[in-house]
Amino acid sequence: MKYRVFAKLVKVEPVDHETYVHTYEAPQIAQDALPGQFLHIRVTHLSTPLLRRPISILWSDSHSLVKVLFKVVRTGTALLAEKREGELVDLLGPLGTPFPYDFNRDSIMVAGGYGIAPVYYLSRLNPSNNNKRVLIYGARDASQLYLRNDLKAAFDEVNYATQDGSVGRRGLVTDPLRDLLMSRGNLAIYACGPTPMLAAVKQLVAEVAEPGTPCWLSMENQMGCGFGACQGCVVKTVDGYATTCKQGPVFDARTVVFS
Amino acid sequence: MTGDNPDVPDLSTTVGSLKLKNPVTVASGTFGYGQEFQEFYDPSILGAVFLKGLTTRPRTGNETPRLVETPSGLINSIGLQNIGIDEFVQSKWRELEKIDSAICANLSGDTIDEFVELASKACTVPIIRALEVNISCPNIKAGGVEFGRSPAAAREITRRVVEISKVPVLVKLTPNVTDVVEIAAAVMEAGAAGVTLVNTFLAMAIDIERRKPVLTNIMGGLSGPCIKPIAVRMVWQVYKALKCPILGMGGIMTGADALEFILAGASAISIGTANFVNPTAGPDILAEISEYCEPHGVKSIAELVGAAHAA
Ligand SMILES: Cc1cc2nc3c(=O)[nH]c(=O)nc-3n(C[C@H](O)[C@H](O)[C@H](O)COP(=O)(O)OP(=O)(O)OC[C@H]3O[C@@H](n4cnc5c(N)ncnc54)[C@H](O)[C@@H]3O)c2cc1C
Ligand SMILES: Cc1cc2nc3c(=O)[nH]c(=O)nc-3n(C[C@H](O)[C@H](O)[C@H](O)COP(=O)(O)O)c2cc1C
Repeated sequence: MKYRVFAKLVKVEPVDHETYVHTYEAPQIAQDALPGQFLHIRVTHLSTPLLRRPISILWSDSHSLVKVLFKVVRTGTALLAEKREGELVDLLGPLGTPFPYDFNRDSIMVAGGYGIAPVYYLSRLNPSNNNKRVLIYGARDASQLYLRNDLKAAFDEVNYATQDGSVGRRGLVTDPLRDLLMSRGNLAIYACGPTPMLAAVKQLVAEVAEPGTPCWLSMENQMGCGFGACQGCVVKTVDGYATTCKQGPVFDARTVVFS
Repeated sequence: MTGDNPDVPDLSTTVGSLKLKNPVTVASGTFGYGQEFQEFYDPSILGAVFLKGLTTRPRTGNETPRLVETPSGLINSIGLQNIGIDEFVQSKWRELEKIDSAICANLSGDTIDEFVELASKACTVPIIRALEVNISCPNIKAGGVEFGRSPAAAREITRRVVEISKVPVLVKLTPNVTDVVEIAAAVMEAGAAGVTLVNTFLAMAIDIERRKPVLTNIMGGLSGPCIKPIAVRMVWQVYKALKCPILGMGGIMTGADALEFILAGASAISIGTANFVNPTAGPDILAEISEYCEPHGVKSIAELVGAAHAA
C-alpha cells in the first residue's frame, strides 16, 4: 500500500553543513517500506515549490520510524532542511519498486554520494548468511561519502573511491568494480548513484561479469506525482518508456537504455 | 439521496445533459485510467472521472525531459502518451467498471475524421457517460490546437461528433486564443452539451546553464495554481456571454478555489495538477465544498453556479 501521512519529524541529525538525516514517525510507511523505495515529500504547504521531492528511504525500523538522508541542492531540499523536530511533514510512501535480493550470490553494492541510502538499507536488512556483502562507495571527495562510521557494521567489506584521492582509491567506482568482477564469481550487483555512474556500471557488468550476473540499478529522475499518474519521469527501456517512480526506481540493468 | 435530507446540502449538479452526483471531477491526463489513485481512495466518491486522452493509435509520448516545475505550476509536454482507442475499447475499460462515478472519455484527433472514429469507438463502451473532445492539446503538432483556435473548425468537429455520439459531448477549449467566447459559442451552436474550460497555457522554460529550452519539445502546457486567475476570468466571460454549461478547471488546489470557478459560472469543476501534489485532492476538495455550504446557508450547488454575476 501507499500512504499519504502527516508524519512527525522526530529527529534531525546534521551530517555536515548541507546534509541531514531526518527520522519520521510514520508507522504505516515504516511497516511497508523496503530498500530501494522512496518517500515523496511535500516541503511546503504553499504552492512554490509545487511538486514533492523524492528521497530514498535510508532505514525503517519496520514498526514506526523511517529515516532519510538528504543533501541540500536548491529550494526544495533547502526548505526541507528548515523543518524542525516536532513539525508535521506531508509524506507519500513507500513509493516505487524495491531491490530484489539474492541470498545465494555475494552482493556487490555500488553507491555514489547520497546513493548510499538504499544500498545501506538493503545490506542492513539482509545480514550475511552464506553470502558476502561488499560495498564500493564513491564520490568527488571525502566530504560526500556519508555515514562512514556506520558502514563497517552494515557490510563485510567497504571500498572507497574518490576522484581527488582523499579517501580510498583515486578514481571512479568502476575501477574497484572492474577488479571485483574479474576476480570473483557468483555475484549480484545493486547500484544507486548519478546516472552516468549507473550507465558505466551497466556497461562494465555487461562486458566483464559472468554471463547472467544480476544487476539492479536505482535510477534518479525529475519526478512529478511519484506514483505513476503524470508520466513525467519516464526512462527509456527496451520495452519503451517506463516511469521511474512506479515501474522503478529500481530497474534490471539489462532493460534500461542509456542515451 | 442527500436531496431528501433538508440538513445536508444537495451537491448534485449537471453539465448540460450530463448528470453528476457532485461537482468534483478529475481532469483528463492527471488521473491516468484511475488505477494509481485507487491505492489512496475509491474514485467512486467523485462526480466524474475524465480519462487520459485517447488517440486513434497508441502514442509513446514526447522525448524527455517532458515536465518542468515553474513558480506555482508546471509545464508538461507529455505528448498524449496513451494506449490508443482500440486497446481501451477492447479491454482497458473493464478496469474502470467498479468505479461508481461518471466515466468520461477524452478524445484527441489530428483530423475531423479521427475525432469521428474516436467518438464512434468510445461510444461502444457501455460505461462511458460522456465524451470530452479535446481540441486544445498544445503537445501534438499535427494540428489539434488549430481546431481549437478556429471557430469554424471547432464548430465542424463538434457537429460531426455530436451527430454520431450516443452520450453528451463536452468540448475542451484552449485558453490560447484572443476570444474564448467566440469558440465557446461556435461549439455550443453545434450541439455541445457544454464546454470544458480550460486546457493548459502554451509556455516554456529555459535552462540558463545549458542555454537551451528545458523541455525537449521546447514548449509545453502550463498548469497549476499560477493559471487559476486567468482560467476563472475565462469561465466568467463565457458564462456571462452564453450562460452555457461549463466544466471549470485550472489550478484548483482547494475547495475555495473550486468555489471561485462555480461562482464564476462553472456547474462542475475538475482537479488536474493538484492530483499530482496531493493524491487525495478529490475527496479533500469535495469535503471542503460541503463544509462551505452549511455555514453559508447553501442548500444546493445550483444556487452557487454563476452567483458572482448577480447584480
Ligand atoms: C528515486 C529518487 C531518490 C532520491 N533519493 C535521494 C536521497 O536519498 N537523498 C538526496 O539527497 N537526494 C535524493 N534524490 C534527489 C533529490 O530528489 C533532489 O536532489 C531534489 O529533488 C532536489 O530538489 P531541490 O528543490 O533542492 O532542487 P531543484 O534543482 O531546484 O529542483 C528542481 C526540480 O528538479 C528536480 N530535481 C533536481 N535534481 C534532481 C535529482 N538529482 N534527482 C531527481 N530530481 C531532481 C526536483 O525534484 C524538482 O522537480 C532522489 C531522487 C530520486 C528520483
Ligand atoms: C501532465 C498533464 C497531462 C494532461 N493531459 C491531458 C489530456 O490528455 N487531455 C486533455 O484534454 N487535457 C490534458 N491535460 C490538461 C488538464 O486536463 C487540465 O485541463 C489542465 O491541466 C488545467 O488544470 P490544472 O491547472 O488543475 O492542472 C493535462 C495536464 C497535465 C498537467
